[in-house]
Amino acid sequence: MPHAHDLPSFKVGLTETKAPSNPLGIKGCGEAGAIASPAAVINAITDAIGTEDLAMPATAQAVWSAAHAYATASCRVIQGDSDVQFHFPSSDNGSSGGGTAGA
Amino acid sequence: MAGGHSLLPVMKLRLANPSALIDLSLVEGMSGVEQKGRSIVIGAMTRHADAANSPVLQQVSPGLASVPASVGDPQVRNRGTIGGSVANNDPNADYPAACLGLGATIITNKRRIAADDFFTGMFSTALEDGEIITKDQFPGCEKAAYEKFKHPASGFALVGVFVSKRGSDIRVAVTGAGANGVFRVKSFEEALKKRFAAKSLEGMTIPATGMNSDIHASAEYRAHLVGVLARRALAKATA
Repeated sequence: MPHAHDLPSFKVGLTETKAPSNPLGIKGCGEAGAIASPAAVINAITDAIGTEDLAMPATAQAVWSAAHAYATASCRVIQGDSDVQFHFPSSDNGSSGGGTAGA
Repeated sequence: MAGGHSLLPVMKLRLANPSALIDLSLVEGMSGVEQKGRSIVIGAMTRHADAANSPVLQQVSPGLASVPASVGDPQVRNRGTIGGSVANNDPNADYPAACLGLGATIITNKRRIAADDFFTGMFSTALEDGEIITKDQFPGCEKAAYEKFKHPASGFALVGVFVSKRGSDIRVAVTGAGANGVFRVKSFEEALKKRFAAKSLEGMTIPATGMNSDIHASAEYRAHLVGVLARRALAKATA
């Protein structure tokens, strides 16, 4: 988890786009940053290391272990080891509303 | 009590309940960094921040100076001391790696103890009752560097590796990883005798047996980090 000392200094800016659907121009909003960013980060990591999924938080150890397990499993498949069982979250999660592990 | 940054948290958790505490911070002559011949002598009550910012230490041994600079956060560095860190021998502390990795001599009110004989296990040292550390003496060396994988919250070394070369004396000392505290990696030291460079350790690992394992890192991951950090430290030392 990032902590206070990990934060860079930043400037705050505002952009206003009024909603045309009501006289005040207001709209509801919540957790905007929390919806897309974790999925984007985890997608980037799984893309980089070749796994199907990675449970959050993506600590250095979690990423290392996943990459390691994937490399070892790939090796064994090439050698024809039938004991290796694969788990494909993409097919399992089709009916679960798209929830990925760790969300 | 030296800086109190290990003892006071332990007392807060009610794990220690001493009937009396003696604060050493006003005892004269126990702090400061001095160059003596080719050696560096650091007083036991020298705060991490003062050691890290010492112009003498930065000039003579930047590798050693980087150790106190990497400890914890500013609050810890402004109170914590080298003597306290060495005497406590926390398995994740930074200074034990520097002492063992440089072949330091721990000087107490009674005797001089070689670092190789001083650290006897997790939170355990050769110190006897009534014996306190007054100074740590570090021999000068040609090359030295410290690299650590910081725990993101505490700044403690999940794994830290100190490497040094002094003539034919080559040392690789590891903190944070061993279940029994700081230790030397003889296989790495042997490999570095041919050439003191990161390349000499290419592909080398150490077994996960005897490594510490907790919620922050498994024994396998710690063993992996030892190799990675040793190569990084060597790259830094030979840059």
